[in-house]
Amino acid sequence: MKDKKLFSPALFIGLFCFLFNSMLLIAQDVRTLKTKVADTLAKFPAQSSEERDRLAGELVRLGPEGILEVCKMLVPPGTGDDTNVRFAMNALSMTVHRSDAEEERKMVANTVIRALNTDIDDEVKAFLIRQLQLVGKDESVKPLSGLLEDDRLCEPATQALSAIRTDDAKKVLIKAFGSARGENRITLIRALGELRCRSAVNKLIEYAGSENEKLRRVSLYALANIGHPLAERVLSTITMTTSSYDRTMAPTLYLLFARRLAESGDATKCVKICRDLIKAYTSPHESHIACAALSTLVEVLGENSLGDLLTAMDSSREDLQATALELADKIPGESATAKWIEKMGTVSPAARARIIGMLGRRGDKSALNALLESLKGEDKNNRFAAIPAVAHIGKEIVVPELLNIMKAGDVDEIEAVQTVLLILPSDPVVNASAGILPVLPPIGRKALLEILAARRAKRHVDVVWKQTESKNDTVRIAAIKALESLAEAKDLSRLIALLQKAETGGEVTAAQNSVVASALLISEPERHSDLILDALSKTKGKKRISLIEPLARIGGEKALEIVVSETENKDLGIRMAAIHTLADWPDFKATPYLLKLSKKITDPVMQSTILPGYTRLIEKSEIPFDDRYDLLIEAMSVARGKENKEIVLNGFSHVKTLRALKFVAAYMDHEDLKGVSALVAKEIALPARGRDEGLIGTEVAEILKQVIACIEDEYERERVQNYLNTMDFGKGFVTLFNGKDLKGWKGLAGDPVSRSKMTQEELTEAQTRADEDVRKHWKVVDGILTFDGQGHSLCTARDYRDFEMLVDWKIQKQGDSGIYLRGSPQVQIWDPAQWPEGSGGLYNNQKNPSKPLQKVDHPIGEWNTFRIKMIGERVTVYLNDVLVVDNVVMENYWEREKPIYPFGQIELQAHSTSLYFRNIYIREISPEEAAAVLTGEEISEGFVSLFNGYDLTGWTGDTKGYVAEAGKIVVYPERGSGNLYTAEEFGNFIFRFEFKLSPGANNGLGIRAPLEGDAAYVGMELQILDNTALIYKDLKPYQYHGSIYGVVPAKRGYLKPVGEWNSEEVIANGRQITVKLNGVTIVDADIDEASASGTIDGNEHPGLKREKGHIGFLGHGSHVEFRNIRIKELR
Amino acid sequence: MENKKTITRRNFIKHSLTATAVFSIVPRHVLGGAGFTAPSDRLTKAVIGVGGMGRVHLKYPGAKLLAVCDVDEKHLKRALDESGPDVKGYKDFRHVLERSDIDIVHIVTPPHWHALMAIAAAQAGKDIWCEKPMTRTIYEGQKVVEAVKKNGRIFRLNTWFRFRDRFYGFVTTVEPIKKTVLNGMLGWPLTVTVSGVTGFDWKFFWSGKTNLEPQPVPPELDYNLWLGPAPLKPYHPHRVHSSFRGYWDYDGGGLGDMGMHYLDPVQYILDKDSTSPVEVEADCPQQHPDACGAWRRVELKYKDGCKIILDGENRDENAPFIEGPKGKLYKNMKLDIPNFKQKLAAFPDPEPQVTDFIEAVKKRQRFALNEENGHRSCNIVNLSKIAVRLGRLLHFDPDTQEFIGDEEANRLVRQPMRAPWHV
Repeated sequence: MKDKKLFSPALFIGLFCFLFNSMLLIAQDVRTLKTKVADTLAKFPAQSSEERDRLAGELVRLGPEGILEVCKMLVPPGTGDDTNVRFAMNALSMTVHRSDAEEERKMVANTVIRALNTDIDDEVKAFLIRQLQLVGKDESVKPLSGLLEDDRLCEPATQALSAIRTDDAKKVLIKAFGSARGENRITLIRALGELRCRSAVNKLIEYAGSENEKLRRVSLYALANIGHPLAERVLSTITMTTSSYDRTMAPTLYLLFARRLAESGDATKCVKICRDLIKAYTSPHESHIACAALSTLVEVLGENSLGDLLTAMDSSREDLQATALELADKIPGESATAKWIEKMGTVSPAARARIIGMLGRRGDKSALNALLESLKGEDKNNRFAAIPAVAHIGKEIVVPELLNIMKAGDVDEIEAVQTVLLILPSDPVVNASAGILPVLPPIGRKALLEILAARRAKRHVDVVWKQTESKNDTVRIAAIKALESLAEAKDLSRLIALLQKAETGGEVTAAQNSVVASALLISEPERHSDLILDALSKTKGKKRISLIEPLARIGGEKALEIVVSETENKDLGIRMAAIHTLADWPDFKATPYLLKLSKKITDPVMQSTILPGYTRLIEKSEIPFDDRYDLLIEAMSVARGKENKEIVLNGFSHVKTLRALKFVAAYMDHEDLKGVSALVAKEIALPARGRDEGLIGTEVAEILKQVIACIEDEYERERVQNYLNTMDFGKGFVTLFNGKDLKGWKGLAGDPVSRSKMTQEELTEAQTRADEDVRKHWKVVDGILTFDGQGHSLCTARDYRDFEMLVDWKIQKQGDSGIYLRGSPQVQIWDPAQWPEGSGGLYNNQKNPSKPLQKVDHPIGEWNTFRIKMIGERVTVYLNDVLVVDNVVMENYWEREKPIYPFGQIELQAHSTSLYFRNIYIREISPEEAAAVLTGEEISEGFVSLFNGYDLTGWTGDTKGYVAEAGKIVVYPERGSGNLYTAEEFGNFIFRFEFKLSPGANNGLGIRAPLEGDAAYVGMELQILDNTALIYKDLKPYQYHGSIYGVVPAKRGYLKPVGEWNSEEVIANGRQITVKLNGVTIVDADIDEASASGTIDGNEHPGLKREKGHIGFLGHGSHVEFRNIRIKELR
Repeated sequence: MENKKTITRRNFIKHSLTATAVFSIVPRHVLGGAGFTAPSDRLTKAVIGVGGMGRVHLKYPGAKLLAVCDVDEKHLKRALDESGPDVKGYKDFRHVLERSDIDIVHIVTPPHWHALMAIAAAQAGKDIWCEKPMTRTIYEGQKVVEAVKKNGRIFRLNTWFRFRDRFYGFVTTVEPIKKTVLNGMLGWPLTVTVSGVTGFDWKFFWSGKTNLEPQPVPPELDYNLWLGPAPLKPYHPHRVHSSFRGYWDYDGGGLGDMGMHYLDPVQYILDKDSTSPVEVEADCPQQHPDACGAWRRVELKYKDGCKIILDGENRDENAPFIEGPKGKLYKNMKLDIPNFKQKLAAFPDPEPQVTDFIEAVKKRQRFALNEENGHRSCNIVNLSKIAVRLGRLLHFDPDTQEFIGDEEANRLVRQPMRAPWHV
């Protein structure tokens, strides 16, 4: 629709000049209000806040009447799509919902109120009331009050009034409460309680004794929150009369009431209530009430509540003590600290420990001496509490005191000291530790060695070396461990010596770790293992093991060689160690050896040490998915037992291909591997977190449905379901070969010509014979489709038109085969040793290229992958991911004079040699997609493409708002929404294009248009519009999609659902204009005849007279996408 | 003024120590030792909400399950089938709270119930293990903090990354990161970017649907009680159970789902456990009034200049997780500081945290992730939600926890509940 463009200043000026010159009638925005509303609504939802505010501004400028129109377009849920309208209302609420938009806010609120007064559905009213909850103020109070008697709307109206919160709002709630009944009464009481409306108290007291549980509870709450003294009797005696839950909540309400009393000045009464409650609630499961009372006391009395807090420590209830000590933070100061210190002397040891903890947290330096006393005291728990407390207050000053504990403390104390030392400043701790370490008992020495290591205190490394000579095992091992963090590269030989001396397991491990750490510090990676290998060459027997093991973390080719040879060692222990080491090897080079080992070793337990290493290295490697797949398949074939199979299956998690998915999914049928294979299948199919896209297609979907049935974890199930819900099925491949049998395939009952000459009976008989033949020679062996070289070709059970297929194939020496497309030969497969051009060419072509662009066959005996795409008569082939046939016309071998058949079966050609196929998938290409490329037909007819798919070469105008992306031209209204024209002019033509609308979208196709002015008048505009949108329900026929705007109406009803691609053809031939939408002619008119007695819209359309002009897309502020824009000029 | 702007490392550490509410160590050897005897040998628990995540809570160890509660009979039956014979089923959580033999209540409902249930549980003397996000609004969060503290309860939130588990894109727990920041290695102030690039993918699939056609309520579901305080809207299965997160009435989309997981550790790292951002602004498409949608970016700023950026579209492909004037920390614990490990080792560790909830209950110690810092973490989520919905720059007062001079925005901080519910 045209006129809205007047909002665009540039166009306005352009149009204005034009109007001025031609003295036309249109001097202002001639749109009806409904049209204006619809135009704005069509732009929702906005893509940014700025855009939203701008659109809301447009609505605001339409004034109350316009906004009322918007409100009227809301529909009850389930009766139509008013999503845009709700977005628009939300834009209004959120935009006027600002303190600087008071005028707008009032206008919107008043309009919403007007809408509320119309005869609309209650759910719509509730929606509108929720808008008032956001934007309503004084003006909304009275109108909302009118809804308080309504059973459905009382609740939302009350919520809105509660949000408004003014005195007037309270008044109307109180008034309504006077006469309310049932649920409405409860609603109002809750609100009155929250708003603390005191005038309701008398009546609430009455309800507080009601038999109606809901009424009673809400009234009690309201009374408590209001805090009127009259309510005291009721609130203090709840327990006597009511249900168990009420009894549970009674003291809470009573305390709330007490708090309110204090707020209104009666602190004395409040304090009495609190203290009474503390005395009354003494049983263990009621101590929270005493806690709450104590908290209230502190709130009300402030520092005067210190006595209550101190007294609470005499209680035996731990939660009360803990609460008192947390509350103690609210009364700071040294005098309070002194009181707490004094209190420590009179309470139980447990309570004292708690006070010590609190004093530490409090950080008051005056407590330090008392805490240091506790550090030396008799009671262990007190000492314990004092350790962090002292550290917290004293910091580095108390390091000597803390280290002192190391001299005589038990294991717990030493551990506690160690913990606090680690959070104190490093230098004082490290220096003092190194100093005192040698004189400590073993556990203390161990703790300090750990601290030196954690702090990497290299300057004290000598102290640590000294301890490696200790006779005490614990100390010696701790020292060796510490060297892992402290040793340098130069220490390696010394560490190897330590390792060779080590006896116990713990000591060996520690020494190995230190050796590794030191070796890795050597600057040249190649030399990392030199000293170790050297030592190894001089070491005999079992001692070798401890030198072999560290190599797994060092790696290197020399080391790998040695380790591999040790896997053959006669000594079982050494052999095992070498195998483990190999399994832990850090780089991919170990994989062939690991595979070899796992083939040789069939014991499942042994295998389970090898296979994880193998799969880990594959995962870590950067080799392509297909290579990983092959390596894992090999491992799967040798894996023995459930555990090993699971290990290998898990390895597939990172092989994100359909093949891998299918392979893994097959194990969902194995009861014992079901869970694991489902999880792995999920990992393969779904996008890796934050990375690439997941797998798609109907087959993937089928597998994922099974996955959902097989996994336990609800979160994961949900993830899979969500993924499934959003998966784009259109792109999906389906399997042609199930890996089990020949389902979906048939034999070859003759070539297409001979088949066409057969009668139905003859054909059936021939087919039966062919099927028998096929069963003899085509077999499924280990999931691979295998041909023995004796019989005939294998054909798909059904025919295909346009498609994309994937197939893996393998041949032997001198092998020969091919893929017949639509029953015709062929995409060539053969032995490149004999045919150096390689496989993949369209062998039988005579006029068009028959050879592949290059030879990319894998060596004989290895798998190759074809990706073949056939659209119309053109074929594209990728062999092993390399393009070998580029959109070449395939000729008809059977009937040379004819073009290739439009559809037919796909065949795997038998050619007297053994053949192997697997992973055969096909994706049928819809006519729409097929049409998306210039067809050979179009080329031969003389169509040319107007859009190159990647930039706007050849186009002019608003190249900011229109963007070329991924083969499409996309209009982004927030970037601009002007017109985009062809640079060239066209007079008579067939123009074809595809477009995709967003909901309510509006655009237009200008033809024979000049670059300036409104194309609808100065050229012609063919509407491009989602006229299915609710907002456009009141359109004039000449505004429907396809119409020559204002001149010739189009037939309505042939648009695809919003979001799908539509194809359109416009034929402009002299005075005749024809528009075909999705194959249906919706306009076919002579424009002279159509305008002979004036145009339908009553406006002048001088553009009808033009003979040629530009073709362009006319922006109207909506998101629209275009593609496959092509034209043929008619001369 | 000058002093306020520059925070030296020394000041920072000092601040960090005093801001931590709990500083106590109870080495494991003395747990349950003399004088510290637990209230009972075996704690007991109830789980409210036994749909998806609720079933996981049934199995958390440490306390004996006595009761399960759900407004969906199918969920309830399934939970009872999976539980022991002495477990009782309830529909109304208030009946669970009446039982004096239950120590701990797990709240595993959608978030619009969390505050109500947590407060009622605290008032009934229960300790609380609550699912994230903690509360649906900021005001509700404040009320939970008040009720839990007042009644002397122990509260934990069910996200782990502050103190345990690997931390999304990181190979470690949060501790070394905390240590790096605590010791000023990155300088100050810091900018934290939470995006797929830094290891945290926002899950926008938790979006709501618009224009849903009302459906009959299934007989097993008490929809009125499921809604509780939330506005009455026609039933549709997508609004409840496993897809409720897509609706503002109950949660906040991917922000509600993942926000606390991602942001609580950030708050801990930045030492913001007792404050909130002062500014928040979102860049996003317009939001539907009912259904949560995707957003592009949310920026939150603290008073001291620290920033948190939620990058929903992974815009900055090279963003560090934390950036400071002296260094950048990337995913997988990669830093642009030479010799980092050696340098880091020389610094003091962060204070130990109380990470065993059951022991925290027994010893009456605040749990590492408790009502107070949990609420502050949830504020980041709730502030972001409001910014996304309002689409304008907002100024927040971390003390009053309201927007400054912005009564309109405050209506989203404090939203009325449907009667008879109130906090």
